[in-house]
Amino acid sequence: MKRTTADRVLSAWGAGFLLILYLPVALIFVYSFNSNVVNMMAWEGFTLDWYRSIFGLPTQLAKSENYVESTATLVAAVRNSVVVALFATVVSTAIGTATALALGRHRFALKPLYQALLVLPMIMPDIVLGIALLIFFVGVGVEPGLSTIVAGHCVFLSSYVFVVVSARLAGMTADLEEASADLGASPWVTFKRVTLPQLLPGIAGGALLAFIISMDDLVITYFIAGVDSTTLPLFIYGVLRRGIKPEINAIAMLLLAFSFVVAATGLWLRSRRQ
Amino acid sequence: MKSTVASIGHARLDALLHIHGAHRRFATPEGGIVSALGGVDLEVRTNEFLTLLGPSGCGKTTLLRAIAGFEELDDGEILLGEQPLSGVPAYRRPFNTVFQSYALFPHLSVADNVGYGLDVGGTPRAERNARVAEALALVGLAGLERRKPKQLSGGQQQRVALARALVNRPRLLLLDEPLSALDRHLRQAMQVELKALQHRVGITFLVVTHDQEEALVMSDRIAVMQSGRLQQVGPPGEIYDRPANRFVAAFIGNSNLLVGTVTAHRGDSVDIETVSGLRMHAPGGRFAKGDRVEVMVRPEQLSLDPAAGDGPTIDGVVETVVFVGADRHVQIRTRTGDALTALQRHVAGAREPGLEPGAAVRVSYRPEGIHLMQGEPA
Repeated sequence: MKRTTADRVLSAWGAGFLLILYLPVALIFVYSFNSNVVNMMAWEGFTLDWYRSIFGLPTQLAKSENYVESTATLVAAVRNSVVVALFATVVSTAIGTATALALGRHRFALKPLYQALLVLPMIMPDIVLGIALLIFFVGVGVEPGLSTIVAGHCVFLSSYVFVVVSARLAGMTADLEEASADLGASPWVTFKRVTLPQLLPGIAGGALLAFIISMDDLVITYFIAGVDSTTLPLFIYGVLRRGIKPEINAIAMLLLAFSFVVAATGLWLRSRRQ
Repeated sequence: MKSTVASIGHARLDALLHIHGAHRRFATPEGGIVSALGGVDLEVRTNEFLTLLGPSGCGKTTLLRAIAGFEELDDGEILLGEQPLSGVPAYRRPFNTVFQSYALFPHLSVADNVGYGLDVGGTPRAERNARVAEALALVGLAGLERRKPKQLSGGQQQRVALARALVNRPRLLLLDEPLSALDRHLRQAMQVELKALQHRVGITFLVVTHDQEEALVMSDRIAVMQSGRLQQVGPPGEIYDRPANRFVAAFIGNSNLLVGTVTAHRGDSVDIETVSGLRMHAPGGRFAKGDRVEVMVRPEQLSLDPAAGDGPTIDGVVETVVFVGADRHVQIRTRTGDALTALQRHVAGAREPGLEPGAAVRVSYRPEGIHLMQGEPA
């Protein structure tokens, strides 16, 4: 293969794109180990103190004013986020999957309209959805808290799960289900033995996506969270408002590592099934 | 309704399935209505190998799906013996289908695919395993139990689909274009094998195909369909020799088709003259003088051998000679201007005279080799 000018230009373009995409993340990764207390953009030496500081371990660099919140608050925020994400994922996966099956395998009146309304929460500005949910919860008199966050997340996470599962379902021809019926399986048995196993990678993918989006959501959660229901993104936002501290880099890295672990686990489970 | 009752009364005792006045209409995306089935009456006899043959879009697959229970009829009914099947879901019908796509379950092994029907039916494990092994041996796939469908060739997948259907011992096996995905050699081998298999298992086979050669090779009876209607139902020899109309004559095998008029009637046979003025002699006692007829002559019924005997002859000129292996297709323009194709058996090394384009030939035929069909009125 002879490399032409076009090849070189395209390679450079691709490399440049990846650089812009990942350079900021790479910088945060480096900063999270920088021992310069005053200016984190100037490298001074390697330290693990910012990570130690998050977990309340004794450090040499981190002074008390560098890190205003206590570790207990951070742990509570992480716990809130995980609890919200778990509940919201389970509920929205069930709703999204059921909806995808209904729309993918049945014909009924106003189906296109229904489909459009289903994906609307994904493109609706978060602020609008957040305000709408807040007004709704206040209107019906529900005290803001973890349960309102779960309910709010389910509204838009169901749309994401619906889209992911629908894509999988569209790739599955109906003839496997017909073959199952032909061999004497009732609709329920067909669902259990054929449709569900075929759909499982889609459902798992949708659930993982929902979990990560829920863990990550700031804007909508901001509107519907209560006093004692601070999630991790809300916590980080709160810390940032008091100035950028080096510990933020460490927290960001831990979050990133967590997301990687979740995604990698998903990929690993998928490859094992095949 | 009266006719339905009458036809049930006259139904043969050994008929497994009766189809009466089957209608099915579909809406087209353009807003029109197409009639996939326009009133089909058909009976499927116990233990026969029946083929639904027709071009794509003729309604044959719709009929098969209606029998399987995947498609509702708009009108008419399907009876299994005396029992109407309308409202009976596919999973309660004692039929099994070999799908065109095979529709093997990709997440299950070969053995679990074949055992699926027995598993959902609650067959005890030991019996299930024995029957799966038996079915796989029947189709020649013993030893591949643990493979996944993806790890099999197209021909092997087809055999799994067959075994998966047969293992349930259905009253009727429906096969939707079962050989269409196979290459030519495998397809020809499977045609003979399917027929032998049907004989061995003693199950009624209903096959849908658009391949007329396949239908001729395998079937006990062929039902030819076009535009949602049955054109002719009968054994392969009858369909080939005495097609009911121009469509069947043209669809099955090669044929020379001419339009003519009966000019004289002599007992069991008639004289005819084609539109171009070609005079021929053919059996056809049922036609009267002046009737318009379609004239069909199979190429192999026309002889180019000058020593062919004392039958009637047609003079013409060779236009083209096409070598297709076993035979040569000789295209002839008659003196009256009609185009005829005759077959000449290929003999290696022999160089027959008079077969170059432009050569004059005398074509002879036996009147019994000509088949007349009702023509459109002039």
